[in-house]
Amino acid sequence: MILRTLLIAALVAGTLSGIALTAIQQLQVTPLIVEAETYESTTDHAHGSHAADTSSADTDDQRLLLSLLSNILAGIGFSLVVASAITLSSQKGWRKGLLWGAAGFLVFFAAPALGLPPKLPGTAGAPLLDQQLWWISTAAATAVGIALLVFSRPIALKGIGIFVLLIPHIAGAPLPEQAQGLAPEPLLQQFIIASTITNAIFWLLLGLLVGHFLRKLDDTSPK
Amino acid sequence: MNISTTPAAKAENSISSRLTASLTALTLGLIILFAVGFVQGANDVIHDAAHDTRHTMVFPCH
Repeated sequence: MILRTLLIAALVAGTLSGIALTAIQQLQVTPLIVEAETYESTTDHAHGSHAADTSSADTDDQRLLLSLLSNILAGIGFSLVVASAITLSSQKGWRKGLLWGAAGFLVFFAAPALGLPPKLPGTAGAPLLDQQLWWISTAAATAVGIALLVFSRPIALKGIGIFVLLIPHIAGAPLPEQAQGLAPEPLLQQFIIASTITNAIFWLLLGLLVGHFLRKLDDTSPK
Repeated sequence: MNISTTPAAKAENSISSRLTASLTALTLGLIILFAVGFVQGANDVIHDAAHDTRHTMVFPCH
């Protein structure tokens, strides 16, 4: 029964926040990505499939549809993680959900972005696998650090929490040999601001919805 | 004749089923996120499909 509640709440909350994310993304973020792709030379490996030709309406529609699909999947994936944390800590309801959403924003966006800032297509990076490993380690360390800081009583454990939060940043993110992007700096700045705002809205909405639906389904489900 | 009707047994049952459900949901969620955020796929097909999502959400993309 509990698992069913979790799955339904995550499915609904994830789908709704994925749709909302797509709407904000189309307005704020995608235009910047598309513009950055015009700076990518055609010989560049990364995004041949849509960098070369984004002008046709068909390609645009397909791109929107694929983004909607992967945004909804990301929404459901993150909602499952948040729903499981909320269920473990017995903190349902939309108000607590907002706090969990804020925690998700810190764990899955802010902390990784401190070391690996939002990148436009055409920006140089360290080897992908190194970046991915650092991203995963940072998200995990941030989750553990915040949990220790918030939920543990002894001050020593809270101290360890702060230390765990800092480890990935002391170790440092993998950097490219030469930091250079093809897109102009103002466009990159604009992109960093736009994606930060977009993720903040996405995460607060996601947390709120997961908390809300977990409580609602729990109230109505037969015990 | 239900053995889990005493309050203590019920509470214990609820904690362990909560734990099981949470861990199941967590695992499923992480698998989905790994697919959306990290897998490249043959011919980069998954990378291309999830491209704008990855750039927006700071998943390392390339």
